[in-house]
Amino acid sequence: MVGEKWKYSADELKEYKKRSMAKEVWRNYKKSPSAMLGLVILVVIIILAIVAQVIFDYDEDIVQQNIMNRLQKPSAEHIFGTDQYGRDIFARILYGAKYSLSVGIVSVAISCFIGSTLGLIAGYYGGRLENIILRTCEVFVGIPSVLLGIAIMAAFGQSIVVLMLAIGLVYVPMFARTARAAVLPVRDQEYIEAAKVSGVSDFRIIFTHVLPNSMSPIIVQVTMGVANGILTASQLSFLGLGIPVPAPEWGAMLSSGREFIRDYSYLTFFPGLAIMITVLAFNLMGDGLRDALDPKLKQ
Amino acid sequence: MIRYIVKRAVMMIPVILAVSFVVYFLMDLAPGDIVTSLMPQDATEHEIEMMREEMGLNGPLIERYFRYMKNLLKGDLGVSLSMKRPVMEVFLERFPNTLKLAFWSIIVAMIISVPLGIAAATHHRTWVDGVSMIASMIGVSMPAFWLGILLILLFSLKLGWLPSGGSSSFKSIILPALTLGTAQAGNLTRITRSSMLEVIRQDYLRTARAKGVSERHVIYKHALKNALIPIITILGSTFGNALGGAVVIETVFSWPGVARLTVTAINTRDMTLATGCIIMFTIFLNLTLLLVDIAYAYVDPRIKAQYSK
Repeated sequence: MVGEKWKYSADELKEYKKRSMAKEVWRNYKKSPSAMLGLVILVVIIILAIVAQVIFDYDEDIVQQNIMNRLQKPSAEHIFGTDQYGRDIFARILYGAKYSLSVGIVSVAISCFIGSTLGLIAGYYGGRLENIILRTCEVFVGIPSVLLGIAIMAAFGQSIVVLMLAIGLVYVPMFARTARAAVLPVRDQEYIEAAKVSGVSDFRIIFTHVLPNSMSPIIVQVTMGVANGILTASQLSFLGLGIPVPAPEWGAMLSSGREFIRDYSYLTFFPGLAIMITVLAFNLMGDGLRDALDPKLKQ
Repeated sequence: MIRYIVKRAVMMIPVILAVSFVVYFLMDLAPGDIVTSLMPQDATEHEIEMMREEMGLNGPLIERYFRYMKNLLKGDLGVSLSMKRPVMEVFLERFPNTLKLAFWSIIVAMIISVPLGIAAATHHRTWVDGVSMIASMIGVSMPAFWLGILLILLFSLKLGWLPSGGSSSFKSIILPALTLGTAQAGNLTRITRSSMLEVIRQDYLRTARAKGVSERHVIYKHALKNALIPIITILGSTFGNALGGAVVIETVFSWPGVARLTVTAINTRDMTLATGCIIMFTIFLNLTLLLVDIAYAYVDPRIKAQYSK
């Protein structure tokens, strides 16, 4: 153990010091093949989603019905086949990527913002405020997420904005708890004490000293949260409570293909595969980030 | 011990009240007024108001909510519009099916994840570990309803071994339980693996090996028992997840449980039924979690010790 201390020369140490936190994390992240795989998949999905927006026309290629072409099995012309309305499934899946991605990302942005703020406040101030925030979280955790999502969708009607808000709200407690747990070990550090003594405002302390030092678990939670958000959104759409038809949302496509499962199973197979691959990419990245942000955990 | 149980039970009351209030509030916002839909088209404002009062649906939200909870304690959740039956009766008839599904899915999840997690931990950093980690990662990422549909395709439509839905025979529960269980297994496998990895490094295992205990015996007698503690600890929340996951799985397999009932109720705008189902479902879930907590207190001497004085 003692020898290890002197493993680096002075120059190397200087070099080491120059590296920023982000560079350090990226250096660790790169080491994991599965994490890189997740990143590559995600980049490919994003590129495909953008390309699809450019080359396909929503009215003509995505929602227009063409009964002559209905239920064609996968072929060179329609590589994933066509659905019961004669629409090309491949085009719809590529185009639909934007719904899953945007719902996943926006809803996590909502829950991360609200949840982390609450968690930071709870962890930093402690006491009564903490108690109130934690108890409130407990209430929302007590309702199964899909049921809470269903109730919110029923209350405010079906639209992509409501879906984002619904899923965002469902996952607020998770972020609040994560952020609070992350703040606790930081709260009593001497540098926080020092900042307080020098008269720095609480707001500034939280955002410049506490947050950067308790960010790792929140970042991991964000990536995993997107994965969960996409899954929950597809569940709600599958139940007919998500993004309204005829938008090519993957969960809704899967659900509408169910009645043709016996003879045209590709109608349900490909949308499900798309969901799984996207969620998998975020999960792989989340795992990789966790290891990269906290190499101690990996052992 | 009694003190602990009482404390936990008392703490549960505000949670249950708040949870049911949130649900009641949300469902109250939903479009579809039961009173106007019951009245004839040409009913006057006054008649509608009279009816509202008669049904106990007048007054501010808080007042209605407490009336609702008071009736709930008496076992009355109103009458379902679409079923023409008391909501409580329908709920109690369907709920055992949901419990049954959740129970068997957890059995399936344990059967898959415990051996897989142990294998991964005992063969740490080998291909066994890699394969089981990839499998559990895929399991976590797969939409459960998709897996369910694929299983229906294989086992009912192609092979014809199992029914694709309903609950007519004991065979009917196999596919739904398998689907829901697999969906839970991914997480459980990871937890089993990490808890086993932790235990394997402990000194008492080294001692056991040094005494000459066989490797098999070390793993299954000494390590597994200790590794199982965290797994049992999360069984409560796993059960909660299973109940939540049942919402979609019941729809896929036309399983006659509460979750599918709730979805149907919302789609047919039967808000009395939907509200009743979600509130009862949530209350049951929270009570279950409470029971699980109390059960741990019995098992874990540390909690017991805290309250014994």
